[in-house]
Amino acid sequence: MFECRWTYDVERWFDGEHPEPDRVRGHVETCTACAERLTRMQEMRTGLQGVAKHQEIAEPQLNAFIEGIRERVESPRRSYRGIWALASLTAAALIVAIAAFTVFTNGPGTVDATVVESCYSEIQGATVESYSSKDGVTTIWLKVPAAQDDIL
Amino acid sequence: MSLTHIIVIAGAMLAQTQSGQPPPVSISVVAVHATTEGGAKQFGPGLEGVRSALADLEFDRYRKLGAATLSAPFNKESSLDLGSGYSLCVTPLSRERNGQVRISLMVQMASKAADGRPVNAVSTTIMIGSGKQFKLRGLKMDQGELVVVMSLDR
Repeated sequence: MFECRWTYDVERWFDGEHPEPDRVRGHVETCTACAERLTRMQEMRTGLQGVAKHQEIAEPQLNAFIEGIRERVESPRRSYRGIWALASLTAAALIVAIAAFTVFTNGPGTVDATVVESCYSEIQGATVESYSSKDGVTTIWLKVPAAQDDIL
Repeated sequence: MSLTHIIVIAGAMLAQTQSGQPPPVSISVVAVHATTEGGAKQFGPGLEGVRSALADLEFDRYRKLGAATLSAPFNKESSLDLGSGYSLCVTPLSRERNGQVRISLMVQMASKAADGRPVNAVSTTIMIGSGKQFKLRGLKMDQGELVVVMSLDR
């Protein structure tokens, strides 16, 4: 790229240090190379200003930020270990109890009521009924018609 | 291992399986003569264990005729003479998973018919648990009834 002999003067003018700024401005308006040089310098300065721009944290924000950190550091740590350990132990105990019940028992136990599956009589005209009392005693009742009494 | 060894071992296993039959069922039987004579209910001696089983009957006199404990093997008929021409036949059929026992019961009576063949007055199949009481009633006997109270021993 062509470099004009006025480049140094343009740079000084750009920095506001040239003693004859009107003369340099007049040259830049007629010199393509210096105009491009000036444009690049302006772009560079704009970019640097963007990078150099930093955010400032206001005093109240900083205090709240520090306070938040302090709270998290100093507050007692919430622990779920005890709860989970207890739940795990309970579940394990239940599983063991169910397994033991299944292995060591043979069915639901002898709590079932007496069941009469069938009942009949060979005596002609006789009927056989069954009932259970409130005490759980099952009764089979042979009922013989009076006409058949003599055979008994 | 020779074929002979295999046969001997199989035979021994089969014998062990057959000897593994469930033990006989123990059944208590109490024969009671129940009559109506008027007055308050009276239970004769030896009926303390079956009073609750007799409580719902309409009779007022109860006399023990006899009591026995049957040791009845499975799938084999065991019989007991109840008196007055009645006999009780008991055949345990199976033991269920819940501990109950399926039992075939039959009360036979001597027939007055010419052929003399006994009559099955009552035939029933029940499933009963240990300690449970069970009774048969309605069998005519001397102006009253023969009541048979049974229970499966624990």
